[in-house]
Amino acid sequence: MNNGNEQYLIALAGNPNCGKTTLFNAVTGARQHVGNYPGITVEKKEGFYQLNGSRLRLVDLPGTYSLTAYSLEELVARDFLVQERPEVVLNIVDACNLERNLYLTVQLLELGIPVVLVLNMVDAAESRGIEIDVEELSRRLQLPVVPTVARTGRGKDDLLSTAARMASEKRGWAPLHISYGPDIDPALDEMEKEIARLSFLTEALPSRWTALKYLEADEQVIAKGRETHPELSSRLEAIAARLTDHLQKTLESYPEAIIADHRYGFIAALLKGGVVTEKNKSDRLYLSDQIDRVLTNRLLGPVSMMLILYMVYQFTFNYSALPVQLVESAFSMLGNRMDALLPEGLIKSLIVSGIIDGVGGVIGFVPLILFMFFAIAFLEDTGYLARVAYMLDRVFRTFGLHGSSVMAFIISGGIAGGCAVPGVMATRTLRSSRERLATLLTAPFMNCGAKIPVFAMLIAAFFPKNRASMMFLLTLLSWMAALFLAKLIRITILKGPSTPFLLELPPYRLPTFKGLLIHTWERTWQYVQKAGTIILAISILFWALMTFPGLSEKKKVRFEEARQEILAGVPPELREMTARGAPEGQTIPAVVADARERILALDHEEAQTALKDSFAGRIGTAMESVSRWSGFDWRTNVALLSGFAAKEIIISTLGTAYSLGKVETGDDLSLSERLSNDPLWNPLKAFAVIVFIMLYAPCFATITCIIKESGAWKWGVFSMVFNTSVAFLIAVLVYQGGRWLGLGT
Amino acid sequence: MLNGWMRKKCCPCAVPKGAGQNRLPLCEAATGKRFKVACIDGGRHLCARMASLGIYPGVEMELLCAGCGCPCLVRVHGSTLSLGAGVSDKILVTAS
Repeated sequence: MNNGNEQYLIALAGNPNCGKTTLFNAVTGARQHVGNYPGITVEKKEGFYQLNGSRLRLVDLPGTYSLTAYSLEELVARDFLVQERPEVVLNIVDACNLERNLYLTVQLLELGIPVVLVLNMVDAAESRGIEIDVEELSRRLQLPVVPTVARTGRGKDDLLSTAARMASEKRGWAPLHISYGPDIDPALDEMEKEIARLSFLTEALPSRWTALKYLEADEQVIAKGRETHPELSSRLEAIAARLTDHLQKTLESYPEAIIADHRYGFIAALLKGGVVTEKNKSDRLYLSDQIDRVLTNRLLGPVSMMLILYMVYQFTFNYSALPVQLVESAFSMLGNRMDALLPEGLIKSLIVSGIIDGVGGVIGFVPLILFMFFAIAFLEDTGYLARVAYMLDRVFRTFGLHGSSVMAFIISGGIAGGCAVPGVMATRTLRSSRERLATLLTAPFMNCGAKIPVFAMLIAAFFPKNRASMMFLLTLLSWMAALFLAKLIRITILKGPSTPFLLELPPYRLPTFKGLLIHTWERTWQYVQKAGTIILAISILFWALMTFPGLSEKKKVRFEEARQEILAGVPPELREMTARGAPEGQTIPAVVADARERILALDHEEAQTALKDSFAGRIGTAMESVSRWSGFDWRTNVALLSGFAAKEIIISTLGTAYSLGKVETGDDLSLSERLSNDPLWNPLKAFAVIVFIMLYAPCFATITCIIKESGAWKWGVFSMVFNTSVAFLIAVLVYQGGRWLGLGT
Repeated sequence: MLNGWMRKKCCPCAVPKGAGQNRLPLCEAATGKRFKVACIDGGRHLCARMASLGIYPGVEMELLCAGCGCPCLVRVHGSTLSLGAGVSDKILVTAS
C-alpha cells in the first residue's frame, strides 16, 4: 500500500454548518495551526495526523455552498483545490440535507479531484427517519462513502484509513461528465474542443470545467483567459454569449439556471430508487424548530435575546474579573520586585514603566479575551448567533450595518464596561467586508472598561448628584454616536449597497466542550502573538515620549537645592529619618512629618515639571492653541495623549500633571477633589472632556487589532484620525455651545 | 469590464400569457404555507447563489416567518434560511 514515510495533503470541503470543523477538531485535536490565507481574512486551518507511518496533512477549507467565484470563501476553496491539488478531498455532507449538500459534491466531481464522501450527522438523520443506503450511494458515485458522527468521533478511524488508502493510490483527476441537455451540451462540446486544442489551463483544470465556467460568466476564469489566450477567450466568450442569447429567446432562461437544474436533476436521479428513504415524512416539528418558535418569536425573541446577551456580558466580565486581577497583581508584583532590585535610573524606568507595564497591558487582556471568545464560540456553535443576526438585521441595516454587528458592539462596551479589543476581533463572524469594516471602525466608540474609571472620576468631581443617570446617558450617547457614525461611514467612504442578507440558520446543537476549547484557544493565542509585539513597541515609545528629554540640569539642581533647604530646616539628628523614613513602630516627630510632606510635594512638582518638559508635554503645550477651542489645557492634552496607549492611563497622567504623584485607578478621589477645586475646570469642560474621551482615537491595542483584522494599515490610521477629528468637533460644539448658553462659568 | 451578456438577469420572469397571476414575491406570501419557486427575478449572481443554497425554480419551500417582514425565514430541503430584503422580494413563488 504505502511504504510508510509519505505525507499526503487532504482537504476538508463542505457546506457551512455541516460539521466540517467539528470533524477537523476531532481528528487533529490540539495539533492544528490557524492562520489566514495570504492577504485575506479567511481563516486557514491546518493539522496533522499520523496513520500507520504516513503523515496526513489536513486542511480545513472555508465552508462553501458552491465553487463559483462569488464569495471570498468560494474562491479560496477553489484556488486551494486547483493550485495545491490535494491527494484527496474529504467532502463532508450533512446527512439530513443530502440534496443540497451534494450540489457542492457534484462540482467537486466535475473538477475531477479524488473525493471521499463523508456522510456526517448520520445519527440525526436516523432520528429523523432518514435512511441512506451507503453502499448503493458509493456504487452509483463510484467513490468511497463513509458515515460519521463528528461530535462523538464515530466513523473517524474508518474515514482516515479510507482517505489514506485513496491518497496512496495516487489517482489522477477524473472529471465527472454531466449532461446539461440539448441546448448547452453542443456549446460545451465545442468550447471543450477549443480549450483542449490550445491546452488552455488544462494542466490544472479539465477543459469541460473551464468551458462551464465561461458559460457561468466566471470572472476569475475569464480574466485569466483574456490574459493568457485573448483570442481563444474571445471565441469562447462569443460562444457563451450566443448560447446565453439563444436560451433567453427560446426558454427565457440563462445558463446558470439550466446548469443548476441539471445538477439537481443528476442529484435527484442519484438518490432515487431506495438510496434515500424517509420514513414518517411529515411536517413534524423537530426540537430545533420548537426552540426557534420561542427564540425567534416576534415578542419573546427580542426579550430572550436581551437576556442571553446580558448573560454573555455578565459571564465574560464577571468570571474574567478574578483572573484579570491575578494577572495584573502578578505584573505589579514583578514591577515592584524589579523596582527594588534595579538601581535607580533610565534602565529601571524603561523596564518597569515601559516593558513590564506594556506587556502587562497586553497579557492583562488575555483572560478577558479568553472568556469572551468562549462565550462567542458557545453562541456560534449552538447556532444562536445566526438567530441574533437574523433578528437584528432590520435595525442595523438602517445604519448600513449587519445583524451580526451587534455582538461586536456589545463586547466593546455596549453595556458599559466591555473592551474594544475582543470587540473588534468579534467582527470576524461578519461575512461581508463593507459592513464588517464599518462595524470594526465604530465599535471602539463604545464605553469600554478603561474609559469607565476616567468617566467615574470626572462624574464624581462635577456631577456628584446624578452619577447613575450620567453613566446611563453616556451609554446612550455612545450607541447613538456609533450607529450614526457607522451610517456616515457607509454613505461616504464605504459607500455601496448592503450585501443582501443571506444566512442559513443551522439547527440548534449542543457544542462539544473540546470544540469550544479549541476555538477559544486558537483565537486567544492569535491575539497574544499578533498584538503582543506591536503593543510592546508602542508602550516603549510612549514611555520614551513621556520620559525624554527629562529635566534640564539647571532645574534639577534647583529642585535638589530646595530639597536640601527643607532638610536644613530639620534638626540634624532627625535629617536621616526625614530622608529615609522612620523605622517601623517609631513615632514620627511633627517636624519630620511636615518636612517629609513638603519634600513629597516637591517631588510631585518635579515630576510635573519633567512631564511638561518631556516630548509629550511639549506636544500637549503646542496643541493648546487648537485645543483651547474645546477648553483643554496642556495638562488635559498630555493626559489624552497618554490615553492613546491605554485609556486608563489618562487618570495617572492627570495625576502627574496636577502634581499629585502617582494616582492609582480606584484611588482617584484626591484627583476628583483637585479638579473640582481647580478654577480652570467646570462641569462644561468636564463634559467636553468626557465626550472627547468617549469618541477619540482608540487605544493602541485596539488600533493594532483594527489593522490586523482589516488587513490594512490605512484603517488603523483612519480610525485614529477620523475618531479624533469627530471627537474634537463634538467636544468643541459641546464646549462652545455650552458657553454660548452661559454654562460653564 | 464584463460584457453585457454576463450581467443580464438570469431569468426575466416575464409572466406567460394566461398563467402566473398568482405569482407573488416571497416576502409578501403568507406564513406557514408551502410554496413553489416560480422564478428568481435577479441577476446571474443571485440566481447562481440561490441555486447553490437549494432555491431554484420548481423547488418547494415553506415560509416560516413572513409577517415579521424582511428578513424572512424559509425552510427548504430541510434547512432553514434567512433571506433579507433584496433577496426575498426577488423570489417569485406560487402556492403549491
